[in-house]
Amino acid sequence: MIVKVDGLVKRYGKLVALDYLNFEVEEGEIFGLLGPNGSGKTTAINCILALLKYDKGSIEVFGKPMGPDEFDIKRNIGLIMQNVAVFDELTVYENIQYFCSLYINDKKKVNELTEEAIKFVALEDYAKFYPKKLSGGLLRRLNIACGVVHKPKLIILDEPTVAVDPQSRNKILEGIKQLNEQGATIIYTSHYMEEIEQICSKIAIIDKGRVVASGTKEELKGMISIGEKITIETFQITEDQIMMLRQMQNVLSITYENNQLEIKSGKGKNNLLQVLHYMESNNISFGKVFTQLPTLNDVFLEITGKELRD
Amino acid sequence: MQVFRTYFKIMKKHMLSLFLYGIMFIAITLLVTFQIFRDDNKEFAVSKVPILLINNDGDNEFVEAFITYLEGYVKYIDVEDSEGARKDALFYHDVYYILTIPKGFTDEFLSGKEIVLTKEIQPDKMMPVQSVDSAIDNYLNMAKTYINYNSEFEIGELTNFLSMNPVEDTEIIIESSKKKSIDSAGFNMYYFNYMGYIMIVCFILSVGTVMMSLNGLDISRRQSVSPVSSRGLNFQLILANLVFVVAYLSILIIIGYLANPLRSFDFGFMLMVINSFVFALVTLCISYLIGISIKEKNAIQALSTALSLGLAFLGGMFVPQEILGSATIKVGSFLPSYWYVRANNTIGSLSNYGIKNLRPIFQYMAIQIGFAAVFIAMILVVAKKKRQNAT
Repeated sequence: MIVKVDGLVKRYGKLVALDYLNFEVEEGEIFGLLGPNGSGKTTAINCILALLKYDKGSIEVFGKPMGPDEFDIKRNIGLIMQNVAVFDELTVYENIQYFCSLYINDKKKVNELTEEAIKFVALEDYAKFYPKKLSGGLLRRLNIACGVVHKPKLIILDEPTVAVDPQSRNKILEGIKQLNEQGATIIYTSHYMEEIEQICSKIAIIDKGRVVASGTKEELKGMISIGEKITIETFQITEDQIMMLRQMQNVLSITYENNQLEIKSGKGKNNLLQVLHYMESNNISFGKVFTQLPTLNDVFLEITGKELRD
Repeated sequence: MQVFRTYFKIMKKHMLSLFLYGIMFIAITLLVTFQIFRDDNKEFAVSKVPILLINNDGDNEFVEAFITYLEGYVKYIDVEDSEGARKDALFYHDVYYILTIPKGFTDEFLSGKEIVLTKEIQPDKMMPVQSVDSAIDNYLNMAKTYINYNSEFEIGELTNFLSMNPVEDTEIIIESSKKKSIDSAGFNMYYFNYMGYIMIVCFILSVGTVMMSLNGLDISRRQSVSPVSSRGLNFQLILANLVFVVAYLSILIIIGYLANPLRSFDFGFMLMVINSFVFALVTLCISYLIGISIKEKNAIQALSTALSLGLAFLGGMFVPQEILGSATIKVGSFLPSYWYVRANNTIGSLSNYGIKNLRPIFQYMAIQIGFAAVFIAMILVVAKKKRQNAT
């Protein structure tokens, strides 16, 4: 077990930020903490890193209780935050070198690792640049290099892709997968469900400081009643026909807006065929047809009654 | 010592502006100091000292004789009878010395009591001012000696004696070595006072900016999760700040020492050096506090200008304290710069270094250390608040 959070409670006055939070992160996992803004993700991370005192519960990292003076544990942790935390006055190389030197005393080793980290984030051409000369995407890569240069066993990424362009975001996600393949365990927090789905091997959905569901993405999707979402473009369907569709077996709900008929079906086979057959036999013309498996947003919606982006 | 090294790497990026500021201020300081220095010597040699005499003791034989005697050394100037007009006269160098003879002076002096003539001086004119001091001291000492050896005397006899036995010319009795020492102290006094301004500007700009970089919210978080203890980080930061301040100040002092044409490494100079290190400590604390409180680098530049000018003017670094208004003095006494300048002025006017003379100087230094303690307390409060906000 790399991280074990057990019954964690954190209050800010009357506000309960973490409400008996529990989760475990196994070695080699990419563990996703998914939740809307204000759900307690960053508070949980701060508690794990001993940046914040908590009111109840316990945290173990690498099998030992975590605390502010647990320097042996800290030596094996890397942190990448949402905001870029680098010195404007130091070059790309000097920045990475400095943060590496906080973990490693051997100067030669520091220089070796610095060069490796620069290669890893593909900033070789910018090593002598000052951060102000870098684009947003390059800055993010520098931020990542500063967090992983010392080759930590546990890397915590707290919403590292906020306000990042899609191309840089993909590069960051690829990099995280690569670090995981090299042996690092990852904790990744985000409110972007697509990212979590894309890279995480295990996910905990968090809301109001509690884990409301956890497991692999397949396990999470298996917890809810929705089997698939069918979207059909149609221009001439009556209220009665919609009523008839609603009464079909396995149909959970139907909405019709802007010529788009959206049908949520329960788990089962031939949901789409059944709907299309009805439309054909009733001479309801239709255009484009899409079918989609449930997303983590659907999971969150069904469990909490609200959208992830609410 | 990674934080220590990084401190100086960051400082290196601000070195050019720091160097330019330093050179500019030192050049101005030396220019002004030399100008004052030259004026002082020239006027001392060729003219009588313009003074304003305020006689509150009424017209009597002893006072009249004293005034007549002083005419040999000074030129009496009439100034409107108001405090503002007197301050203006001093400020615009219409008079260098305001001498007040207090009420009851003659009676108390003749009865052998210690009585002090009050004076206000133009500190830019230390040489002529000191010549007037000497003339007054010589006359009164002569009178005191006569009184001590003649228990029953008439005032007429005393004034006759004093006029028949003129005291030696002040200009003549100043020995060459003594004159050199007075010049050197005067130069040092001006240089060290102006240097206070350089310290405030440069330390806020450099230390403030570096501390702001090293204490940024996100950088702090990243450092907090590293295996370096916060005590270790703070130790390295404090050490780096002290090394920088000592090095920078030493350069300023050495330049000032070498620029002084009559330089002498005497006790007065040493006292001014100690005083400047005490003030550097206060300035460092102010800069550190600004560095951990301010979030915008541009704000530091504006703050350094406003604070340095405010502290310099109210503390009497540019305008001598003797001619500052009483309200300004009152405000100034709540500032460390005032006590720094006061200590320098006191050191500059010392003719002997007895315990009695040194005590006020050490008191002024202690007051500055008190200010430093207050700023350190504020730093601890702000740092604690920042740590809480960081999470």
